[in-house]
Amino acid sequence: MLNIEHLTKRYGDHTVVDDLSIHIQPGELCAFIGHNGAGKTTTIKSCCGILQFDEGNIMIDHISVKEHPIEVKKRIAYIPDNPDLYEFLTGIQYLQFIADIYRVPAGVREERIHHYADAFQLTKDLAQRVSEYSHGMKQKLVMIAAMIHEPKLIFMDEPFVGLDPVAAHTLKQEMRSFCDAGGTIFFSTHVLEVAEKLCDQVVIIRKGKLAAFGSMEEVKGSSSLEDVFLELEGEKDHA
Amino acid sequence: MLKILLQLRLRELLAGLTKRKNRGYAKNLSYGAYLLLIAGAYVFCGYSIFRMFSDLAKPLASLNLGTLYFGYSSVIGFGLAMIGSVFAAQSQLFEAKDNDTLLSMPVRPSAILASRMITLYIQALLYEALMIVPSGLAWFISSKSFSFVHILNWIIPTLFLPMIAVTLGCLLGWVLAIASSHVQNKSYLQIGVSMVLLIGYFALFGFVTSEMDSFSAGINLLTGQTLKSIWPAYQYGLACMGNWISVLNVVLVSAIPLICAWVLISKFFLHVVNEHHHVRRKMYVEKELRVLSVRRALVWREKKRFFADGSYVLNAGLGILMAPIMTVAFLIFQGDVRSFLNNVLEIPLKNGQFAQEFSNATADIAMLAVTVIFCILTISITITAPSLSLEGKTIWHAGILPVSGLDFLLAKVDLQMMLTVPVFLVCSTVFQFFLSGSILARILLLISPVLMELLMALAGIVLNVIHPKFDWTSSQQCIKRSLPVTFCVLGGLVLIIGSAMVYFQWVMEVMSPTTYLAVCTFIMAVLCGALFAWLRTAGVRKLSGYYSL
Repeated sequence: MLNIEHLTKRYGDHTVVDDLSIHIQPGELCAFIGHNGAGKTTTIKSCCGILQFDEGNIMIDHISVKEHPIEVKKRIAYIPDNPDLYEFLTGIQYLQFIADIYRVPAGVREERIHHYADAFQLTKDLAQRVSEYSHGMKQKLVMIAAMIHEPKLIFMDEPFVGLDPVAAHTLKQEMRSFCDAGGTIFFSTHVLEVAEKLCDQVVIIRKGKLAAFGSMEEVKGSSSLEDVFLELEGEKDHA
Repeated sequence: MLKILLQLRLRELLAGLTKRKNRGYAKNLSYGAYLLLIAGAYVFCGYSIFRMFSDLAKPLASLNLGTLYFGYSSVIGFGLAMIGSVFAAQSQLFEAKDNDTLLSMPVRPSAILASRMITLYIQALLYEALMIVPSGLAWFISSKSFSFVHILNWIIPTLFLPMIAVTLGCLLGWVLAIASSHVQNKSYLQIGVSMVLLIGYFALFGFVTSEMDSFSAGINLLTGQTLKSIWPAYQYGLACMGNWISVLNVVLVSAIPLICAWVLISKFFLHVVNEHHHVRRKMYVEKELRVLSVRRALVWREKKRFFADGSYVLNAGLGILMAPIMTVAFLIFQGDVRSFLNNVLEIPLKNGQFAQEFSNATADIAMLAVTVIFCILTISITITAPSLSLEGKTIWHAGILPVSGLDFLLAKVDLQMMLTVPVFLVCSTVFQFFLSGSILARILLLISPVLMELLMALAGIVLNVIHPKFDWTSSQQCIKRSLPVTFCVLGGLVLIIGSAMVYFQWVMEVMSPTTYLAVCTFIMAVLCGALFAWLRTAGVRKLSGYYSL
C-alpha cells in the first residue's frame, strides 16, 4: 500500500530525511515514532504530496506520488497535528465541502457524516462555525472529514493531541475498525503506550534515518516500546 | 511596559516592509517599489487636494474667512479619519489575536489599550493629514502668511484634532464589538455600518463643499452659523487664525475625551474581549445534503469566505455597486450628461484632430465613454488580489485535496467574474437602449469591460501567487495594505491612462477611437491569455511550494 524508497529531503545543507525506505501493506496500522525534529512530519507531508522531496520515490497503491499526485490524493487522507480549518464555515459546511471535492455521492455522504459525527459526539455542534470550535472539536471535525470519502490510506500527524479521553478512545476504535476493514493507517505519535497496544507495525526514525522497522513483536521483543526507543536514542549517543 | 508594547505594535505595522536577508533581491526590489508607490500615491492625492483647496483659498483669503476655511477643512479631515478609525478600533483593540497572550502576562489592560490607541492615533493622523496639510499649505500660500506663529498656531491644533476621531472610533468600535458578539453574521453588521458611515461622509463632503462655494461666491454668509454649531471645528478654525485661547480649547476638547475613553474602556476591556459566546448555539438539524461538482464546490468556498469578511466585501468588492449607481445616475441626469459630452468632445472635431473616418461617427462617443468608464470601474474590484494570502494557515488544504493547483487558483477568478460580469452586462445592455452607436461600439460596450475584469482578476491572482502573505494577524493586512492589491490597482490605472495617452498623443489622427478601443480590447485578450498561460505553468509550480507553510 505504501512504499517509500530511498526518500531524501534536504533544506539547504541540512538533510532532514536521509535515504528512508519503508513498506506498509494494506490493512496495517503503523506507528511512526521519533524524537522532535527527527523527520516524521517531513516524511508524512512528502507522502501526501504537500512537500516536494529531493530523492527517492513514494508509491501509494502502486501509484507514484511524484508523477500522479491527484490520483494518489483521491486515495488518501491527511490529518495534521494542528488543523487550521476554514473558520468562516460551519462544521457541516466544511464536511460538505470535503465530500464535494472527493465526489462522495449524496446518500452515502449523509450516512457517513452522521455515523462519524455521532461516534465523535460532534453532531450537535455541526451547525456552529468552526471559529467557535475548541482545538479538540477541530481535531474531531478533521478526522470526520478524513474518513467520509473512505480513503485507502490515512496519514495522521500526532492525532491524539488535544483529544479528551472519550474521543481518544473512539479514535482508537475507529482506527482499528478501519484497518480491520482493509484500510491502512500511518501515524506519528509520541504516546508510545497507545502505539504499543494498537499497532501492527512500527517505524522508528532518528535524525532522519531509519532506526528500526518491523512488526511490533519484532521491534520491541520482550521489552516495552519505550525501552526500545530510549535504548536506540541512548545507543547512538554512546557510540 | 508601554514602550515595549509600542515597539511590538510598530514592528507589526512595519512587518513585511523591511528588507530581509533571505527574501531575495527580486522580492526586496518589489517591496521597495511598493513603498515608493504608496509614497507616490500619498503625494499624488495630497497634491490633488492642494490644487482643489487652492481654488477655494484665494477668494476666502481675500474675504478674510480663514476661520471658516480651516473649520470646514477640519470637518472633512475628521470624516476621513473617522471612517478609517472605527473598524480599525474594533479589530485592533478588541479582536487582536494577541489579546489572550498579553492578558495572561503581568500587563495592565490600560497599558495594552494605550499602546493600541497610540497606533490608532498615528493612523488617524495620517488620514487627517492627507486633507489638512494640503489645505493648510494652500491657505498659507494664498494668504501669504508664513510666520512662525501662524505655522505653530496651525500645527498644534492639527496634532491634537485626530484624537477626537480616535475617541469616537474607539467608543463606536466598543459598541460594535459588543453588538458583533450577539450576531451570527458579523460581516453583515460591519457592511451595514460601513455603508452608513460612507454615505454620511459623502453627505458631509457635499455639504461642506457647497458651503465653501457659497462663501467664495459671497452668497449667504449667514451659513457660517452652521460651523459655529460644530464647536470643535469652529475652535480649530479660530486657532489656525491665531487665537491662542482657541488653541487651548482644541487641545482640551481633543485630549480630555480621549483620556476619559481610555480609562472607561480599560475598566471594561476584559469583559468585552471575552464576550464572544453570547450567540445562541444553533442546534444541528439533519436534512438532505446538497451536492456540488468539484469546481462549484471550490467557488462556493471562495464565495463563503468573501461574504464572511465585511472588510473584504467593502474594500475589494464595493466597486461592483458603482456600475449600477452610474447607470441609474445616467438615467436620471441624461440631459446633463449628453450636453457635457457634446461640449467637451466637439473641440477635437472642430480642430480636425480626430481621424477622418471618425468625424462621421460622432454617435459612438458616448458609448465609448461609458465603455472606458466601466473599464476604469473594474480596477476598483480586487477580489483575487488578496485571495491566496487569505488562505493563511489553511493553505495545506490545497496540498492535500485531489484538485489541481490550477483549479484551485481559477476558482478565485471564477468568483470575481461571477460577481461582476452579470452586473456589467446588465448595465451595458441598459446603455445600449439609451445611446446610439455603431455595431462595433455596441459590441465593445459589452465585451471590453468583461475582458478588462478578467484581466484584473487574472493579474490579481498572478500577483498574489508571486507575493503571498500567509502569516497575517489581521485580514486587513492582505485586503488593504498588501503589495498584490496595490500593484493590481496601479497597474490597471497605468494601462488605461497609458492607453489614453498613447491615443491622444500619437494615434488619434490615424485611427478612430472605436477602432483603437477594438485594438486595445484585442490586446487585453492577449494579455489574459498570457497570464493564464503563466498560471497554468509557473503559477501552479509556485503554489505547490506554499503547501507546507
